Amino acid sequence: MNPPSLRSEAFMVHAMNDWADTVYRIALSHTRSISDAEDITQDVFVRLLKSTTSFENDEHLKAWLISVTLNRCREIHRMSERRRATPTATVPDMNTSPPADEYFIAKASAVWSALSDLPPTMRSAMHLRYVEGYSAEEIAGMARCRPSTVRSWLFRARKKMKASLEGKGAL
Amino acid sequence: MNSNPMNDYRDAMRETSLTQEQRARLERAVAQARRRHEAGNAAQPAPRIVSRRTFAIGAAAAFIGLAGFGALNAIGGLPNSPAPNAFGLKAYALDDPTRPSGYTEVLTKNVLTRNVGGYFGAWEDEKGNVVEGVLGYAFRFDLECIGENVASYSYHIEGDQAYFGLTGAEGDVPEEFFPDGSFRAKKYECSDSLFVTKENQEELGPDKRRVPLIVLALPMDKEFQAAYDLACNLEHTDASEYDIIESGSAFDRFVELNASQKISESAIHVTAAYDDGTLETKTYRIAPVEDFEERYLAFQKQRDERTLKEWHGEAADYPVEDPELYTITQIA
Repeated sequence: MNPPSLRSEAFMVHAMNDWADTVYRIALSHTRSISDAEDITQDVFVRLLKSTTSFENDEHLKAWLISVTLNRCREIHRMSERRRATPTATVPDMNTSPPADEYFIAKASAVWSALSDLPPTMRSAMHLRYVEGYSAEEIAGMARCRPSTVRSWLFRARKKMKASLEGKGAL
Repeated sequence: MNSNPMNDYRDAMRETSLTQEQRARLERAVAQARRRHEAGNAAQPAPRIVSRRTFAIGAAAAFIGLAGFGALNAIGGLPNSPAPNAFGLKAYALDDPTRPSGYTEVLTKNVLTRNVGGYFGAWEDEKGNVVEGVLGYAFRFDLECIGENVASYSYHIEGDQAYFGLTGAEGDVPEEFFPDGSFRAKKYECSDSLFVTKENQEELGPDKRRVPLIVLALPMDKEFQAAYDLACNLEHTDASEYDIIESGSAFDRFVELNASQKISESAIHVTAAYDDGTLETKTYRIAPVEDFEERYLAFQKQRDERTLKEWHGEAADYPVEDPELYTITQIA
């Protein structure tokens, strides 16, 4: 029996060219680990390769990728919690950080640190809102929860971040 | 630094991208997955993930072994067990596996939906596609049985779109938890039956490695759908926090009432396979208390008042009462 068909190479190239960085950034925001973010990015695109979902347009594809990324991030987070691993550093490991991340740390270290104090899903919600520009309803669609839950996450995240940044004299 | 710190974060994040090496590794991973798939291996799940079906088959193999052991025991090759065969679902039997049918035990909301449980979002079909107009709900139900001389337990749930699910085990089944305690499960991760050996039971429970669930699909009627739409659409308006909470709660009421109705239409059959090879089946029903709606509304009022206080930064460190919403009865 032939295995089910996979996405074409052209489709995958298009998807990776357009959205791999977005997936990586969301994973980095959620996990704060460059190696985990890279693993998640690979996993998400392997899942896309095998997925049978029909995409109506690029935005649909992007939303699907973000949804799968968030799910994978949560799996990684839970597994790392169960392993009771040493807490991830508040900034990415500089030894393995690519130049872009060094730039990122230098430019936004205070915010990165404040975001690090938030629960991972709140962090992802903040990222999707302020970096990707999604509304609470759109985030809820991707995170599969109620918009009011996202609104609550954003509300609490902003409040916590403000307190954190004020405490660090960054505001 | 920008006046809004999130602008710094946004600017820095937008400059962050995969390096050439990372991108090359991504392309290799995808190409490798393609080759494996085309070689006929890709249909297999990732090695780390053990599907529930695999778990059941593994347990079944253990059961066959134990059944064989029971047969040897019956022939007389081994000493007889001192206690008579007996079993019961602990939530009903408490500490007496011989407890007869006809009694009723109360279950609180926390017992059934704390941490893992409650409404968990869209329902998905076997391909992972969202089924329009249907939502998912899960009860975090403790399936632990107590008994004497029991080798294994087989659980079967009888009811329309009612399933067992397992979650919480590292890598065993995909789990989608959210900070508010909700989770998401896909239909194909659920089954109307579950097989548990004595050994498996050690790791099965609400606070153990594997968390057993009763998963329900809740089709929405017009009113239910309207409440859902309103709760979602208010995000686009300047609605007050009170209205946001109220619309969410109105939707929650539909969810909880539908879930309570659906669980009461389901029955849980548990069959114990004893060491001597004999079988015994008991049937249980979880049902809402008579004044379920009134109790749930009182709970919701308390919870919403506390949520509003939290949103306004007021002290809200008092607990919300855990309402007794359900009962469990042995019906056969």
